[in-house]
Amino acid sequence: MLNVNTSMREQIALIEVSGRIDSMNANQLGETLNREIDSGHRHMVLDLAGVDYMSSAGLREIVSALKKVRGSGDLRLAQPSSRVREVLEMAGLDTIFQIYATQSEAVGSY
Amino acid sequence: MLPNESRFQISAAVDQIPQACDFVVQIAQQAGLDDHAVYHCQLAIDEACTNIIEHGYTHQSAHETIEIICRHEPARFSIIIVDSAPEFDPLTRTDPNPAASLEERTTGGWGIFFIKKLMDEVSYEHLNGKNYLTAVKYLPQ
Repeated sequence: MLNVNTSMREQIALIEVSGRIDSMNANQLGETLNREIDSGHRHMVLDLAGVDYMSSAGLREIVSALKKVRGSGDLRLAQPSSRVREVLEMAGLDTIFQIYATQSEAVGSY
Repeated sequence: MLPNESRFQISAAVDQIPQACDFVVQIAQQAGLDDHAVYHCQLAIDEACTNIIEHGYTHQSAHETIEIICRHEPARFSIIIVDSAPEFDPLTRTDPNPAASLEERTTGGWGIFFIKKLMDEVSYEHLNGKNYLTAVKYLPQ
């Protein structure tokens, strides 16, 4: 079960996700990210505080979104759990994404 | 079936994978793996089944299945994933590079790499027309 909520903080598109991100539902996250990008949002924060599990299917979606916005904006990550951070680190994405300990730090980083 | 062995079968569809994960988690916990190791087993079975469904069984059919065998031995916990897709040894694939820049990256190809990183041993066999991928976690002694 995956819940995805989107909102705006000033000019920042905030995407808050909770649940499990796997091959069954990762496209749901990808569709949300793409919708935000297609709407013209280029400064985005993905808050992963509620995500207790993310497989490589989830990584595929966030890397794909980052490729689309990097250059004209950014997709920054907030509050990954230790398990999600482990997956990010295995794929070397902790050096590709800017990752913040809190949502307010991530939003305030722009 | 051996006395220390449990088996579970799913249809080759992504919406069946959580059931395979739940099965492995339950057996891994009973085998005495800690929470972190159980999580690694869960990710490994998820990635293996996803790979088979997306790249092995390219023509989805209700008849295609994946069998998961968990084997609990004194010093090791093995997960054996069996499918009847065309012969393919995923361990021969070149690993993606975690140090690659964003521009150099392809978005896929990380599943088998994760299994190799998360588990203590991974091996592949093709026997009697079936692919057998075995992933092992060593049990705490």
